[in-house]
Amino acid sequence: MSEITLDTLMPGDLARITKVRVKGPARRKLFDMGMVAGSEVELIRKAPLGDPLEFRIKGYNLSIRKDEAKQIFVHLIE
Amino acid sequence: MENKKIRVALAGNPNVGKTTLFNAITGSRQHVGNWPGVTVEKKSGMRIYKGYEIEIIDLPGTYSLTAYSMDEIVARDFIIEEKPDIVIQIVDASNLERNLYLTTQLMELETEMIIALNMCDLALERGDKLYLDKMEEILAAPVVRTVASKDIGINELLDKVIEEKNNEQYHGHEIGYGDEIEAMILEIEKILTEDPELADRYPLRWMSIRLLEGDANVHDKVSRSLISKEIDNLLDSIDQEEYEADIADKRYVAINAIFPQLCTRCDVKLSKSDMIDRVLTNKYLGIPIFLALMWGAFELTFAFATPFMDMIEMAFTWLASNVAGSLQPEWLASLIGDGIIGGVGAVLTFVPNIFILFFLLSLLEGSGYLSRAAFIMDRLMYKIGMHGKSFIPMLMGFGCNVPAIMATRSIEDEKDRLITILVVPFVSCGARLPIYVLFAGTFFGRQAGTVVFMMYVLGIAVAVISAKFLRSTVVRGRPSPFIMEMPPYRVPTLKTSLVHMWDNGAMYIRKAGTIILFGVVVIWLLASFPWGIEYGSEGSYVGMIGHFFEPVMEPLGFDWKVTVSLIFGFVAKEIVVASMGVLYGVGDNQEALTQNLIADPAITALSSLSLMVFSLLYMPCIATLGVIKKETGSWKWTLFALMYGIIVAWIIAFIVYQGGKLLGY
Amino acid sequence: MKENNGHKIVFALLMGAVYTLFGLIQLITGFSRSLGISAPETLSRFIANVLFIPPDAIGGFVLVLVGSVFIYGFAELHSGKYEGIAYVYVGILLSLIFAGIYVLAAFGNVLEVYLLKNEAFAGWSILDDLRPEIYLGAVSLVAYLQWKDHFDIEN
Repeated sequence: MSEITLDTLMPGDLARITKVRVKGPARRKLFDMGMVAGSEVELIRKAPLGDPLEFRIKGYNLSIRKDEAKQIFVHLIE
Repeated sequence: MENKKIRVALAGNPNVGKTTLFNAITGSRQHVGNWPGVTVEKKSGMRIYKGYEIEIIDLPGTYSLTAYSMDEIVARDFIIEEKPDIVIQIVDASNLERNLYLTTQLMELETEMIIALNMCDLALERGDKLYLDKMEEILAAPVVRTVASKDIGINELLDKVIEEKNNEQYHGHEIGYGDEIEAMILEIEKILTEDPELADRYPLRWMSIRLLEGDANVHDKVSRSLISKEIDNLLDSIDQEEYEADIADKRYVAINAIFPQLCTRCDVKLSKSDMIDRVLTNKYLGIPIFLALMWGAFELTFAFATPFMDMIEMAFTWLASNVAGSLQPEWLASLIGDGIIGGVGAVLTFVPNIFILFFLLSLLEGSGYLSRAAFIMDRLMYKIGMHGKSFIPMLMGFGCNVPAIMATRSIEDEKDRLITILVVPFVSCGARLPIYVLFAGTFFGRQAGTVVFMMYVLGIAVAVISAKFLRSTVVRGRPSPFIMEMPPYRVPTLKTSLVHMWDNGAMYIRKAGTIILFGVVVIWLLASFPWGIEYGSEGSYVGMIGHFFEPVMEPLGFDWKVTVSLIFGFVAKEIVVASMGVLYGVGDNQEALTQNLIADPAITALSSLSLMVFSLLYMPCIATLGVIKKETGSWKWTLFALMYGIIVAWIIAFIVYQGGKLLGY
Repeated sequence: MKENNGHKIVFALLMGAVYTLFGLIQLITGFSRSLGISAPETLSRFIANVLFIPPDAIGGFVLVLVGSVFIYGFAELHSGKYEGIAYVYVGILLSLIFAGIYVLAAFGNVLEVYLLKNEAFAGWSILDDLRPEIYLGAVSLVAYLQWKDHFDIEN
């Protein structure tokens, strides 16, 4: 199963996080919000201007920018 | 003797109805202030229940208790330093999984806890099945069902508070972090016990876990102790980033194990809220809808507030003429009439406007739409060095800068908030419009509308360029990351919105009121003295000041009369027009004023253009400055805003005037 | 559930068309008025006194927008995507919101006329404030009351 980054998902894609390589204060904040290895994430939509991205995770909706999504590694589930 | 006083802290994620619950418990007995030393709002209240005096402190809403933001540090410090009797965590029943993350952290603080399971009605509606008994068993804390918006469960909650206070038993569920980490925790605990003062003050296990996570705030607390070297040595031997990730990981593993036992059928895929989102964040319709709704809010505020504003204006005019007219001696009549009643009237006239604006804003926030607004606009804002959350305050600036700056409180990151506060005053507020109408109307005839429109565009342009400029100089750094929850759309609670409206509106009256009153009195003094001089004329102190600054203003095409009016505009920008009327001796008569302006050779179309530009950009009015001071908590930045505005205004007005002259106008 | 949708599809198409048409009229008349151009006399009078569309560029934009939402919904439903129903739902909500805004604005005017006896409003009648945002919104209101619990998205 190849590893891709979160920002390459298409709306409707479901994936599981393998590694979070974000650095800095955003890292902890992402952990707090549930973006940890092992979590299931689904891309719901992209904003009208293309960025940020809205995901479904841990039963709620979270949006983050592509900058951060680029550093989160996942593999597709379906 | 049994102590009948109980101190309760309210904790919880944002958007779980914490404020609503707080209001439901405390009613009107609330006090709003600031946490000492920071610009985070502190709300506390009191409730007398069954003979007990219950003090409630509303902690800032947080997703966790790591030291990521000031909100979290404030919340955390209150619990471990002030040690309240009970901590109630308000949990969103329809969002249980994520809410539990905070629960695990609260439990590590080893404090008495009660869980208020709020929004049970929504969960029920969705068909969720919640197992309260299991929850109480696993979390080892009492759980009370509440629907704060309908005042359900409040009494039961308070009953539990009293029960737990008298119980004095510590509850809590402990999470295991796996062998390696647990071994480390024990080691650190051992070292910590060598400093009895530290060990007594804070929960040991909590400190250890935090240190392993690389928590800067806890590290600070330890660094002053004699054992800090030992701790540092230990921490250096591990990969803190790995530990941080592992610990967060284990928390969720634990939650994953617990959660299915607490709730079944708890993740509905396509809900009504998602349905609405498809439209409101649609690629093509999303932005137009957003703009239309914002315009609608302004339109409503203006149209509905106007009759009330007229009523207040009428009342004050009547008051001024009757009361002041019958007062002796003359100077007192002038002080009260021209000064105080005039000045206070200027503030209070805006009150209906401000109140309605805040009410609508509160409705939008309660519905959940504001997070979508930030979501939609973030890309644009990021390009100019700001955060998506900054868009709404900037938009509000078109109405009035004062509530706009108050709205920046929703921006967590200090730097993002500061930039927004510094940049909002350049947005053309409603008070500047009479200036444009007067001068554009007088000198630009059919192009008046376009000229006014250009003013608005200029304001936005300067704001945007300023943001980029400030970002690369005085407030360095990139905008904070966009990591935001998109809560489900909800019907906002009328009561909560009204309370918000009242809180913010009252603050406006207090702040703007006192400052404008002060400013008005000072200007009145300057305009009335030396004794015997006609109010606001060339011979008064104000006139002298105008003449004094004339050389500085001349390159912009302003004479002393214009300069004096601009000084009056310091109090409130609407006053610029009024004071021109006074200086030309025509009072309120707009037509006469127009005639006088045209006749005056010192005032040309070009100079009126640079005047409009200057009044658009020069420092924020005194009420805005007052709010800037309150929201930044610093005189340094308030003064900066003042000076920056004047300098930018001067430079651009200079370019306009001199450039225009070069082109032959 | 599917039968209900039939009604909603037709509703979306009709509302979409009317909102867009009236919106364009309002937009064009509003825009040309600020440019100083005016339409032939009889047409202007028809628009103002029969259709009750006051010239207003921004109001026109809003109407066109609501119309677009309905048409988008119609398009999706017509091509078989059941999620299109979301657009009908939101279209109705938006029309209600804007109707509400203009009703409250009219109420503000009523206060000015009757409570404050403001001469700037001499000769004003409540019909002066009637506009498509309000009367089309009334149609939406009926639809909302009929259908509010029948916006199922689960298939």
